[in-house]
Amino acid sequence: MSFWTAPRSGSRLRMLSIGRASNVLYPVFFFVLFMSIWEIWVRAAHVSKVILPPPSAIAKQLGIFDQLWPDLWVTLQRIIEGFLLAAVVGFVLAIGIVTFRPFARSVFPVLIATQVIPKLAIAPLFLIWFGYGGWSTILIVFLLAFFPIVINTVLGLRTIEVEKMYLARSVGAGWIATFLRIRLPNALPSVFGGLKLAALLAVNGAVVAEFISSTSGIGHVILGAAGDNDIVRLFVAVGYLSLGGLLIFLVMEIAERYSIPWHVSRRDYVSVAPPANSRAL
Amino acid sequence: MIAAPNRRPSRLPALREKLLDVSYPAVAVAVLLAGWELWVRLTHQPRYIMVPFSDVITACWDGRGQLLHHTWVTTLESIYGFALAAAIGIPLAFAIVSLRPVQKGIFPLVVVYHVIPTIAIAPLLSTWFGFGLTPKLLIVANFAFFPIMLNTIIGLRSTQPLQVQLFRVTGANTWQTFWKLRMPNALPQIFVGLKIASTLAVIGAVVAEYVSASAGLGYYVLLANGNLDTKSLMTGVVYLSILGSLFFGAMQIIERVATPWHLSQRSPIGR
Repeated sequence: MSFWTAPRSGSRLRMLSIGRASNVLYPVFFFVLFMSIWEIWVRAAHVSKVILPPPSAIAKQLGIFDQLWPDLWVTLQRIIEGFLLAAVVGFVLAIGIVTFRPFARSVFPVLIATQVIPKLAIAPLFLIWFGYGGWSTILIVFLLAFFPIVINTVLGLRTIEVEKMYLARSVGAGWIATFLRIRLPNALPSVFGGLKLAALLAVNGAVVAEFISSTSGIGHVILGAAGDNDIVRLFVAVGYLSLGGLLIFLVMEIAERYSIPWHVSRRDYVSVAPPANSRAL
Repeated sequence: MIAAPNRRPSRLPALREKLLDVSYPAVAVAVLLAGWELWVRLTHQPRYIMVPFSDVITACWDGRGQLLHHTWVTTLESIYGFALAAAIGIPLAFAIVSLRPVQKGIFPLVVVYHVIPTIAIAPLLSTWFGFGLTPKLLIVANFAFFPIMLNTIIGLRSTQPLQVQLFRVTGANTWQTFWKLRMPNALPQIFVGLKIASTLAVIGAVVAEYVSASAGLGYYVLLANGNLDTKSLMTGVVYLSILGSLFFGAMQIIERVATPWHLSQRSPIGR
């Protein structure tokens, strides 16, 4: 009841940090509770397997990983390729925006304005342009992941105290030294916020792209399973896809911890979804 | 270079700066659109690859009857789903903030749930709830729910300890503290979440219509894609962009009415 009785500005809930046992036990308890209710309800109400299978039936079928792996791997490759492309292009563009003032003035507002366009709505156009193979999926992933990376990098590079720049100048640092030693480290928390959001969007984007049209990939498998009313297969596919998505997210999380150890200590759960990227999809 | 140390804020050319801030993006957009128009016309792109910008605008007007019908369907799906997301997200945030077991047990699960691509279970919702409105508003709610919940939590937690202590000193009870201090204090942040969710709701509706639909702008876009009708596809995207902006604008107006005291503090980007 700390919220009501003892307000302290320092009390924060930290994600992915296993401090005390209760931090683990509580979620596990609720997870088990949720699964038990599901299991008991399905068995007691005799819900058809075509509608909703019990968790135990899904768990038994986890072994079809061998069948799913080729499609899952195809999707993960597309996600990673699109994501890396977005990271490289986004980062270069962000540096350009921060460095050249006319460029910033003309391009950055337009970039923000294009956030109004629902990117998943132009996804079908990519199929016409780039065919029904992997490239359209990669480029849709790129399209979704690109914007949060650019915008967060620009915001991160811009929010720097003038005093730090004065200091850099007074010790005679050149432009490159200032950028590498001061601006970039200063921007990294924001950059990683963008990268993590982009990683989530990349997974979603790949699935939607494969829904729209694809002959391979886990999205294709999921849609096929739904069409066959094979709900167990659908759940298993979604489960493995989620694991893949979580893995990508965790890689970003670990990379963040290694590259900016000074920041993690005062970070809270908020960084998972920065509100700055209001129109991310 | 932004924030170069020797760049002092000059007073006189403020108007000039403002003018440049508007004209640069305007020129960039004009160049972009002109480039699009000229590229398509001069290189004689096939109509299924790309159509000139002017054709898209004309088609937006010519096909307005049909397009408005589809827009209305998508609008209803978005509004219902958005309302559901707010009805779940805000009370859940209250519970997370006030009850420790919920905070420690449910919140991590909700975060993990958000990280997994829930779009993937969209086809399942059609199996459960048919092809009507129900599966669509559930998908929309699924999209819109997380930012609402997260921002409500942030808002409720951001109350100044000194203010809480003042309330306690003056003898306010928990209920009064909540309605007169914590809630008004959290409202701006709650609206941040609602604004984010408003655009996500439209996107959720589009994805829901991709999966299964017989009307709506997502359906329209996918149908146009199937017919290799790029012009219709682009008009659908234009209508969707306008719909998303209207949703966002509507939330901004509601925000202004609900939190008039906060306007002065808000940044112009509408964060």
